[in-house]
Amino acid sequence: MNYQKNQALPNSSVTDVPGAIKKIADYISRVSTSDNVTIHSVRNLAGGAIQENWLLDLELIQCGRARKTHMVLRTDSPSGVEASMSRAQEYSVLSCAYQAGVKVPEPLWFCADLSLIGRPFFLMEALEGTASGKQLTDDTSFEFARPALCRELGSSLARLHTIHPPQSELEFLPAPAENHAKACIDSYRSYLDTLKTTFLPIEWGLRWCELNLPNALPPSLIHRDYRTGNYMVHEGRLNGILDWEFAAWGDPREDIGWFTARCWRFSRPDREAGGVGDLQDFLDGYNAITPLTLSENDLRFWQVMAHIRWAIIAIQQTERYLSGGEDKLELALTGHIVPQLEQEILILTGEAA
Amino acid sequence: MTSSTTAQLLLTARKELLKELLHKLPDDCHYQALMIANAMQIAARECLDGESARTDTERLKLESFGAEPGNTGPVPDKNMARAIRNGEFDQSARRQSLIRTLLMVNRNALSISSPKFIRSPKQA
Repeated sequence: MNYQKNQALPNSSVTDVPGAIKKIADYISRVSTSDNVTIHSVRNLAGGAIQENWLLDLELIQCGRARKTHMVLRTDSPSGVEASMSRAQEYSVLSCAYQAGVKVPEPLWFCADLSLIGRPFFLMEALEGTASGKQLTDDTSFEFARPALCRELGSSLARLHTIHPPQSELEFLPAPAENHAKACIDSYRSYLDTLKTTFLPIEWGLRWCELNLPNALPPSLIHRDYRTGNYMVHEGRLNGILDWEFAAWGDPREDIGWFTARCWRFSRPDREAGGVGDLQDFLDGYNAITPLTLSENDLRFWQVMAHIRWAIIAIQQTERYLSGGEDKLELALTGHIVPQLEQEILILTGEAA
Repeated sequence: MTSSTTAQLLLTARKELLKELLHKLPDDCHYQALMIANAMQIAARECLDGESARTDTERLKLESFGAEPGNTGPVPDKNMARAIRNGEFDQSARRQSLIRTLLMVNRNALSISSPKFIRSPKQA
């Protein structure tokens, strides 16, 4: 995952979302062709340093009838720190996934007008439920629903993978590599070469991947962060996949390796499907939409790649902290998960040696 | 102040944070407080065992990878990385030995950063 530096936002023109309620309400009124829109409250949802997500509680009056609803406004954080995709691009990806039948929050409108909050933003449907990895893997109250949830997660991912290049609305995505896995190996090595510290387990993992490279599959639109913690579940059902900012063209099996990697199973490492259920249910859901041959070796390969990729991201985040760019405890602690990821790489490649 | 008393100080402060303060903080501050407690725990372990873990790591590397001519320390990691990329550990016996050593070294790192995650290959 390579972060690209987005252009810093001109801080002087940035307005806090709660301070622009009237302008946002007028905008929604215009694009939704409502007679009037009132925003009763806004609440900042936990999200991260790169983007802000605001839950809007609002009332629309259309043809004399009032309708209460919720929406999420997603925009860049005022700090203008690194992001992988602009909000306009993320909105296009979300729209594309929505049209393909992937379970996502419905994208509503994208606004490029900087006179509202000084930053582009988009509005999407607000989803009920939880995305908490701990809760979704711990909760015993919906055991009965786990097989169906895993099938839904599989089928949603398969629908995403039915999108192949070229797509006119996704022209901004970098062209797919001839062999996505090989391109990843080269990119991770290039990054490691810029560091003073050496990570031998990652070096070994990359060599193992090079020796066990599977044949490339035709490129699909892949999410690149499809995991527990990035989807909403309500009453045991999948309600929507979140966080599309890392989407790219690539090998669809990368998403499956990422989803099933042990590092994303939270409290239940024994449940291979993201800690929430059985792998077979997930694969059944996937194959019901589009057939995919996934051998045990393929799965292992992409799980090794998942741990390598997460380790590389964790090192990048630590570097951001150590270089003095961002003095944040969360970034500082991320470096301490690298040995856990290295352990997985060594165990997975040791078993297959 | 010795590293042992520094560790004690950190652990006492951590205990106070978790026992006396955490439940008085608003819910949206809990995650941050737990991160602070985790950081203190890691720092305390580093004070207590960091030096011996590093010494043991050097010993393991020297025993397994050997020393470069003219040096007393183990082969530098950068050189090992190059050898791995060049395929010098592809052959089965060398590969198994490399993985075994790296797992032991990794165990030392985990003993400081997150000991509860240490597991044997059989638990995979």
